[in-house]
Amino acid sequence: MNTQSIVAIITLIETLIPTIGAIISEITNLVNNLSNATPEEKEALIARIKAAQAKLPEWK
Amino acid sequence: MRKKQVLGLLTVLIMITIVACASLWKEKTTATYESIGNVLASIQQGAKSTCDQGLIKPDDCVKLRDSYNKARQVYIVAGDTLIEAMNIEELYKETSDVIKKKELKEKMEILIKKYQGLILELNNLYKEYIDMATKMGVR
Repeated sequence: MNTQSIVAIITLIETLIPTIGAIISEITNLVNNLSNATPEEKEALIARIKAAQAKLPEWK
Repeated sequence: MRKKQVLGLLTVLIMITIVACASLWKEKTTATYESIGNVLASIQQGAKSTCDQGLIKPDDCVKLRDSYNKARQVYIVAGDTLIEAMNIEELYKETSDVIKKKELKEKMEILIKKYQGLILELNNLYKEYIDMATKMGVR
């Protein structure tokens, strides 16, 4: 991993920043747009969120 | 190594595009949440590797580490908030009591606002990381 790699990563992160803004506007419609997901589907999504959380290690 | 990481991040970008076409908000939000986590993991992997090789000053590595750990903490709280919102939504759908329904909807609105705030905070932490890397002379 060299500084060029870091630059590549940072450039991509910069690309992602406007995307996060778009995500927020999507979520704004959430409350008035309740889904028809079953409890089982919801549990599967919760499991995915927990797995995503667990994937991020603490940097000691 | 570099190619692998760039490819990983490109995958995240493609995922976000695909996710934008999905129909269920929970599916959409969960996939986006996962994508953000993948980006954070890539940052951590790249920055840690750079520090382990001694390519960045130890003091700067401490700053990078703290920035990542802060973002990670925000990410975890955002995930917990999202889970709570999903559970509340299910209760909302199951309840027929009008007053209870109103209460649950209000609670959900609060949780969604909290989630939005956390994602914004995460966004700011990304910017902080970029500023920090620039000051370190990364580019």
